[in-house]
Amino acid sequence: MTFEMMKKILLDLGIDEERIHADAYLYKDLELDSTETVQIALDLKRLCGVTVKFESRQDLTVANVCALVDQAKDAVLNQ
Amino acid sequence: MNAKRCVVITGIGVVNPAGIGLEPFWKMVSQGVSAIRKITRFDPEGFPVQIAGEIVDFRPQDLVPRRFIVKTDRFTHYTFAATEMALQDARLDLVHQDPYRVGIFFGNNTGGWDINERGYYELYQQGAPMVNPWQVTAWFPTAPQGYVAIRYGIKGYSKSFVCDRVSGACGLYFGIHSILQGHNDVVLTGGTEAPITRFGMTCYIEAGELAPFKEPEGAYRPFDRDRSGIVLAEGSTILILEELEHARQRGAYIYGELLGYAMTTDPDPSAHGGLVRAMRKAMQVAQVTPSEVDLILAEGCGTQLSDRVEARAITEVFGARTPEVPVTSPKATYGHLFGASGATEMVSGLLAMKTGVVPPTINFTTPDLDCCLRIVSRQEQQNVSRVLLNARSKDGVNVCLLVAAMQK
Repeated sequence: MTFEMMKKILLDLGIDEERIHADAYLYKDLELDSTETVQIALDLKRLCGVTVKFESRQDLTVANVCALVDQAKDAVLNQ
Repeated sequence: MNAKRCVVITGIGVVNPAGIGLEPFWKMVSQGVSAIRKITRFDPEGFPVQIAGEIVDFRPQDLVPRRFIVKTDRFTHYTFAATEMALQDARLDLVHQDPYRVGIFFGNNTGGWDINERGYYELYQQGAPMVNPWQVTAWFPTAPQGYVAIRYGIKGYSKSFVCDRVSGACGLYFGIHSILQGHNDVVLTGGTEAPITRFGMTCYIEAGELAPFKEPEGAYRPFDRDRSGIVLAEGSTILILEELEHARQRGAYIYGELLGYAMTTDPDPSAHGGLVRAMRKAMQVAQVTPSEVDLILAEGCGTQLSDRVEARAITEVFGARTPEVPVTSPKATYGHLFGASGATEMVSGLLAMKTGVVPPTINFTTPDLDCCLRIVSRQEQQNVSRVLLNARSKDGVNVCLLVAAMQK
């Protein structure tokens, strides 16, 4: 479910569907720039109320981002 | 010693209320079919101005990758599309060019209003942390230059110009010089504008120069006695400038050669001496006399003052020949494009030379005794070899260009 949400966010940014998979790195594979990762963070905040910060020095896979989102959601639920 | 460098125009891309693409644009403009419309992009009810040169059938996805569409404003979408059309028209693949010898010289007056307004809504309705990141990169007037450079890998000497109604003409003027001075062999020049939003129209209305019309019929009437101001428009025109030998070596079609260029400033909007000097200097640089100019593409913005000042300047420069030399302001058909102005009117000059058709200044029905020029009010057939183009800002910055057909 989190992956599908991430996929929609990436599609909305204009990333081709065939390039979006769990192991794809945001910078190395999808070639996102810093403004696009900020937009992903804003979309995640809007869609599920969690804050995920992207560091420009650390390239994450789509699966990594989904895991961070799930952890953040769990943390909110356990509060 | 190096041979003298010359600048020619080899490609045209047009996104305009009158048409998207050169052929539809010219069909409408050469026949004087008005593209001024009641605004549909937002509900203009309550606005003192409810008309504009609005583009209603533009599909950015036809020419622009979605990834670029998402992160840029409408005024950059227009630029992307016009640039792609110009490159295709020139049959110029930038992949085969030295990226450090290709420059960009664009004009824009007021940035990207769509994304600007979106930012305000987000700020005041959702709070500062939810403002979209494109505010950093997409709204300001240099954004089209930056994004076109990114899209095509252009790395040569480049500039953007914000100078009211001569923003686009400044792009041409300095783009020409960048080739003459040896910085570039190819220049993408022209400009873009997309101010038709609630906020954009509000700001232009406040500036006080728009014609106060709620219906489009007869609203934009440059040089007519009953003119009442500018009709704002949106769109982009991009021209490909090339050094002559560069163009010849690749067998490019040449629309015209930019022989003369000048830029001056008048000390106040009612002064015309600077415009006189600019016209004379452009002709002097081109080694063309007033008697050899076949057509004047006027600034003709449609305000009482600016048209009167320009008419005085033309009369002073052309003297006894003033009643003979045809003057036209094709922007009466599609509106004033500010950042894309200059380049857009240049297209009319190039196509007049190519086709022998002079586009009319529509809505010119009642001559003004203060503007005793030979205004072309209906399409005319005429051989045109040399065209003088005027552009002038509200506060008196003048750019004049002399373009000529290539000698066979």
